[in-house]
Amino acid sequence: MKPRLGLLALLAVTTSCVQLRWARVESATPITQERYAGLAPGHANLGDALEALGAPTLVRELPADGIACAWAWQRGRTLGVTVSLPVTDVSVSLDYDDVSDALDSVVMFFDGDRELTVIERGKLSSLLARRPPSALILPTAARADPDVSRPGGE
Amino acid sequence: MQSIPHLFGALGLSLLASGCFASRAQINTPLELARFEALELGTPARDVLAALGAPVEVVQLGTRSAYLYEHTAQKKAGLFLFLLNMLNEDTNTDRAWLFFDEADRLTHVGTTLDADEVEYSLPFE
Repeated sequence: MKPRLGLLALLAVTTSCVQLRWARVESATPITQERYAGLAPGHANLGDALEALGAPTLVRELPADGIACAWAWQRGRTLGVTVSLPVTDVSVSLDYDDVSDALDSVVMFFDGDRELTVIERGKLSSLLARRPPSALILPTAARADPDVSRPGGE
Repeated sequence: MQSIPHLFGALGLSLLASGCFASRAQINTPLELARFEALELGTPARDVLAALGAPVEVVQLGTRSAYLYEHTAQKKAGLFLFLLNMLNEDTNTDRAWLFFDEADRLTHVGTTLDADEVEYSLPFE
């Protein structure tokens, strides 16, 4: 009888103290490079991009009448463990997650004539944070950056 | 030899301790592709508004502008088993961006209708 009670107590304690989380978050459909392989800076325009990729996730104004269009998606998986230890009057909780779920994206920049100037691929937050709007429409600066990708170039 | 009954006991308790949920959320009404395809380039913004209603967002692009129409669908599912919690969240949208020139005439339309593709699932699926 005692082992069963012990097991029950162990289950109760363990359930409340340790939790494993396995989560997946998905949003939108990933944009593969093949979908914009035919869009070359200097040769394609906004209409071509909209036809190839559909409606962007966001549209932003840039200096000199330019715009940036971003197509973003998320494929996040999280495996984590939460450990909670009640210590007299204080509750201690440790949490560990090992996977980032930032948005992936393709960002295209267009000039005032809505001609495509630059294509970038990467995490949306870093693409938008790394380049202030004033720098976003400078094709020469962007092309000198090794992170800049072009159709067929990745 | 007593370990086998204990194992079954633990398994039974874990099943009793389990739970699950499924939820669905939507923002705005689904977009109808035909209504956007019916718009001709050059259409004045006021006629677009009359045909489609108010957009969810208007972005000023210098002297030009763009309207966003959007519908979002989301499905969540979760399974709680003893120590392990499994959660899945799937979100998709119907989205349309309409671009206008300095004279507020329609120049570009981009549409994506994916909201129907959301589904309930679990992380291992």
